[in-house]
Amino acid sequence: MLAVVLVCAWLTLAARVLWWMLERISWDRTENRRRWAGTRLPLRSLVVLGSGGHTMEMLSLLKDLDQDKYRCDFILGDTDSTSLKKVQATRPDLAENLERFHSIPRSREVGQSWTSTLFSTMKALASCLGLIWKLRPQVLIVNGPGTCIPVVAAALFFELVAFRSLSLVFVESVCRVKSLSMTGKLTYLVSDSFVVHWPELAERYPKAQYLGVLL
Amino acid sequence: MLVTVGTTCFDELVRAVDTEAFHEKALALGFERLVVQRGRGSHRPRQLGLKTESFDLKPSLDEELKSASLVISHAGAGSIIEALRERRRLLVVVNPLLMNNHQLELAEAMQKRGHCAMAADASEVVARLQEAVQMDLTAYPAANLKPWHDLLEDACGVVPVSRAPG
Repeated sequence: MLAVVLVCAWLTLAARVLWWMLERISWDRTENRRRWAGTRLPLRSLVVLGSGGHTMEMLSLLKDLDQDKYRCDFILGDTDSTSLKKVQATRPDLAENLERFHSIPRSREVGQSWTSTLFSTMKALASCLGLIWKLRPQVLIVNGPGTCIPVVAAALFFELVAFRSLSLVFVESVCRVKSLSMTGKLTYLVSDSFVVHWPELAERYPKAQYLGVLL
Repeated sequence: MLVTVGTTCFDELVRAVDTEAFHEKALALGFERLVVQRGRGSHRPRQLGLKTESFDLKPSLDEELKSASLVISHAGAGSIIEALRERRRLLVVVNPLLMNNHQLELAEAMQKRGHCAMAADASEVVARLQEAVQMDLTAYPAANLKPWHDLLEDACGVVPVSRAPG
């Protein structure tokens, strides 16, 4: 009897994972899945700000973004002291409400050893799981800093186990002209849309979309 | 003329513009002032001909950018795009000491499209100066965020989309 229950549980789980993978993973540009058609706006949107150049690029992308459609929350690395200041300097309207800014532990500082990286990554992932559970993002916009990996992993985990749909939009960094960054490669298959800044990349990767000059 | 290394440490570049050869060449090309933004480096440029001033960091380089007729910049995306947005003549200097140097990709792509001149490392700055001042420029196109907003709406499906994706 127990064996039957176990087998059924495994089969259900396997079916769910398989179903999720079929819906989530794509090598090519996918048709618009119309996930949020008819949903009440604004969509709960989550934006990961990296550091330095990544933050600058993301802020350019958020220019003129309709806050009545996408209500943005922001994730920062907790050792990143400049990104928030930069938002406050360039987009005071977004920085009005500091409750919308959430910091998570960095998964790896420059020069950190690999064993301690394992622990700090777990810590970062745990904190992301908590945050994503609370924020229930419908849209996740990331542009490639290392900080976004645990965030994406946590969001996809809840999509898998808690049936929370997610639109995942990845924007590659402008300095990538010929090859994808590590985060780009990791996010490529699971993203809904994948944006690059150079036509060379769009030619090489069928899913990547070049949208002209955005910065 | 403005030299900027952003928030990085790129003393090789600061040293390269702190030479008599550089000042001579710049004076010959008609420059009078040199402003150096040193970043995290420690080398301070001397007075060698051009009227030279320097500082480590400022919250914004807007003013310096607007008054410079030539910008010599490290190859960081932020600095490059800021200078091109201001429609400045630009010489991008790659720092080959940076780990897995993908700065080079962006600098090369911008140079290939005629938006700026490029030096593969700081020692080439003097040799590239004239080219940077006299080259035919292709203006960097203005950013158009419309396709990006369309893509977001498409990805989220918030409104009915009539156009085909792509």
